[in-house]
Amino acid sequence: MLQAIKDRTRGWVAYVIIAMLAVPFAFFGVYSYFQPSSNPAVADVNGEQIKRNELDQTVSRQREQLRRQLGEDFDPDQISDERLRRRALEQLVDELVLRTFAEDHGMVAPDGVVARRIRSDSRFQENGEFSRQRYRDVLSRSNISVSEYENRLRRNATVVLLRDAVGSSAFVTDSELERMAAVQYQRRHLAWLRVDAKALRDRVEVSDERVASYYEDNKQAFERPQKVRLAYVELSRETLADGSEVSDQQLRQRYEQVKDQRGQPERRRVEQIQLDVPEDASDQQLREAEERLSGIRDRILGGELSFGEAAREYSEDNLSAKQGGEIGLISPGDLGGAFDDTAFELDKGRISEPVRTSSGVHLIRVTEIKPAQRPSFDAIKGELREAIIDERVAKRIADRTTELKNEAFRNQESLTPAANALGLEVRETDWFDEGGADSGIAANEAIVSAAFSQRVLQQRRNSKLIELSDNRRVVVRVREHKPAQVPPLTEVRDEVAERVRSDQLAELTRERGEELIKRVEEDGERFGSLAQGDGISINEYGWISRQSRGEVPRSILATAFRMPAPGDGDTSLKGTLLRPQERGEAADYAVIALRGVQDGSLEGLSDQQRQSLRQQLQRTSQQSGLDEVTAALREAADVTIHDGRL
Amino acid sequence: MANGYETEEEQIEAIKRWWQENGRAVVAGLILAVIGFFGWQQWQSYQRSQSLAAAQTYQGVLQALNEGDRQSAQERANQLASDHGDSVQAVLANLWVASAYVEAGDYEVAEAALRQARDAAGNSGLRPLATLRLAKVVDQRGDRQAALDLLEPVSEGPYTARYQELRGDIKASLGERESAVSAYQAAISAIEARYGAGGGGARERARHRGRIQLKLADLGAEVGTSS
Repeated sequence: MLQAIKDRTRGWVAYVIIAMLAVPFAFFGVYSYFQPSSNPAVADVNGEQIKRNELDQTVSRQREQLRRQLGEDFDPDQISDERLRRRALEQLVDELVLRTFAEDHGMVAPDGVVARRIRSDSRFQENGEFSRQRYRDVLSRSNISVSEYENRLRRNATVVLLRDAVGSSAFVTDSELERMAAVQYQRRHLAWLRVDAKALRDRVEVSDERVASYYEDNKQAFERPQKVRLAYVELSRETLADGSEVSDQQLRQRYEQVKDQRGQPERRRVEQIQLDVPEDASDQQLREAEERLSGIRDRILGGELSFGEAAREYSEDNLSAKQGGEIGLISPGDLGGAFDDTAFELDKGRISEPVRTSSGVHLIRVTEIKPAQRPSFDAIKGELREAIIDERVAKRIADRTTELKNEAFRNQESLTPAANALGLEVRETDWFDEGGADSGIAANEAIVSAAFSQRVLQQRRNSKLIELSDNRRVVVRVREHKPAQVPPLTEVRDEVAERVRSDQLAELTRERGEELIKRVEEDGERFGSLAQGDGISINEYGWISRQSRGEVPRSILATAFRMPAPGDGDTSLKGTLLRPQERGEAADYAVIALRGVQDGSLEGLSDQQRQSLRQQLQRTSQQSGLDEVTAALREAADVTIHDGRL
Repeated sequence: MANGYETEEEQIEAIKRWWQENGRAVVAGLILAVIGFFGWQQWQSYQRSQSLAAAQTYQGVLQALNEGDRQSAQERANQLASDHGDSVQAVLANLWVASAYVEAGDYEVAEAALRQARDAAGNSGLRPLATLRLAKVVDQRGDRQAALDLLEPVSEGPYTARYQELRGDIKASLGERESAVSAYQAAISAIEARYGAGGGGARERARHRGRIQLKLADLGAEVGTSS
């Protein structure tokens, strides 16, 4: 049959068939039939796809960012990959929603914007200038064609344009500002009286039955947290110092090495007379200068001039010339070259022969020698011994860290093999809870969080190697665990009784306060005359704003600003419990009298207050606008997430 | 091909017959396809040139605003609205212009720009944004009832919180305490409903809620204590 087809499909028939076949191939590349499934789409958004590669890249970029932000606190185990992936996918989808929306509505970023972004990218710059060559090189190294890259940029730029427009075009109207100012900078006229709980303390009796029933009803409140006791192996100075002596010879050697860096080297007070000679001067010129200087030297030695007078008269180094040639105290190396050498060879009081340096020729005289001050061997012997031991231990710790890590990992069920292999002992801690201990290794946060981790506590495996400060390395495991438990009543009786007492006291205090309110509201007594009973005191405040935090207890402030405004000339009253000053103490009761409300106004604010209020509202408006637009567009978009391919 | 044609002549005959019956349709189809293909190309390139033109004008708006030339920005935004009335750029350009005029205290021009933005937004997700901003400006200009009308019906969804907040503000200034309270309450629960939603600004949402709670408390209403 194939033969038959072949026979018949000759001439123009064949051309027709080929032409027809060509059509689909022209529109659909062959590759689309063989697309690899290793990079499937994880989401479809308005007909475009987000590929798994893209998601992977975003996740690893964000992970890297987290690592940089958190620094040492970054623990890859704590940040679930699943959550990171989900979040990254949501962001990618949102972005694509915005992009497809913008593109479908004819929005493109113009070439100028794209070009600006390329030019300002430091990866494509050489010496701070954009380089076309470099641009091509960088792209070809990352296997991206120029047009593909520019397309991608253009798409990103489109999203940025859209976001920027929605966010930054947010505004705050004057009436919004005025309304917010009215509330936020409102002032209220108030006074309050305190009903002191302590004054009522004697009137409370705590019965055994109440204690028992309170304990029954509130057992959870008395629960003791879970505790662990750890076994651990530690590489540290303490466990590894083998007591081996540091020999005298080693100490001497070390002393020789460090003595010059310690203490003060020799210093000399130096004077000079300088004749300038340019660096490119001829030998002839140099010789002439030297001869002149020798002449001056002879005159000084002959007693015709003092060194100082000669310096003032002839020296061409202006600064020292004015001081009679004095340069001051110098240490070896301060001036360098021949000058330095001569200055530190010369006997005190002698005048040198002319010395050549790059700046000219000099006569040098030393007027004072301060000998070097070095610490004596005995003075720093102890310190050196410590340093040597530290180094030995550090080396030993470095040598054994890997071994400890491996041994503890190989045998997850016990620390003994690791300890034996390293010649260490397994130590134990005391009991501690998730708050950690006050001393010992359990005072360390890293140890505590390892101790209560899934791996160590639930699975009872050895921890990973934990590095502490002072070069200590530790592996821990749980030796014993006490789950959280409620102790029997006999053990916590006092604690329970104290709570019952404060509860009853608070109740009594409240009753007394409410009675006071009634006396004003129903019996027409004046608020000011209430402060006659025992343990009752009145505080007059006058006008108060929300911002007066320091002066007014917070619960008074919070309650006072929630009370309905009283009518003109009226007073409204409200009671509230105050937060006790110390935990476990009974709460006092407050009766607040509100006498007036005065709204804030923009004019009443300082420039700074107005500015900050405007900024607050602006920020919300901006952020909400972005959130809303993204969410609304997403609701309208056609989004499918392929959970199975994540 | 057991019952195939015996001879070449017969074959040709058959094809000719078939051509006589269907030839017209085939030719017509081909012509249509060709026209369609080129037409589509034309349309695409027209669209592209339109987009580019709109993009140019849009950049012009941004640049004018950057230079502080509000008037020229406004003219260009008007042009975008008339030439590319359904483009995103027409919406965004007018949002920008409105914000610049609000800042300058000229609410009349701002209102006109926001109306254009709203029209250009069609039924897209940008419309409620333009509407909300328009309502703020209309309220500022003193027509509270018109502002309230713009906010009706309150869109259920991402925009609910700020719609309800503005309603609450207006109702409160009209002295309608009950409606203001329920609007603020609706705003707060709308924000809380979106706490779980992704996106940045979780802290900003919390602050926003705090401010609405303040306004609610000021009306003497009970405010949930969850914080």
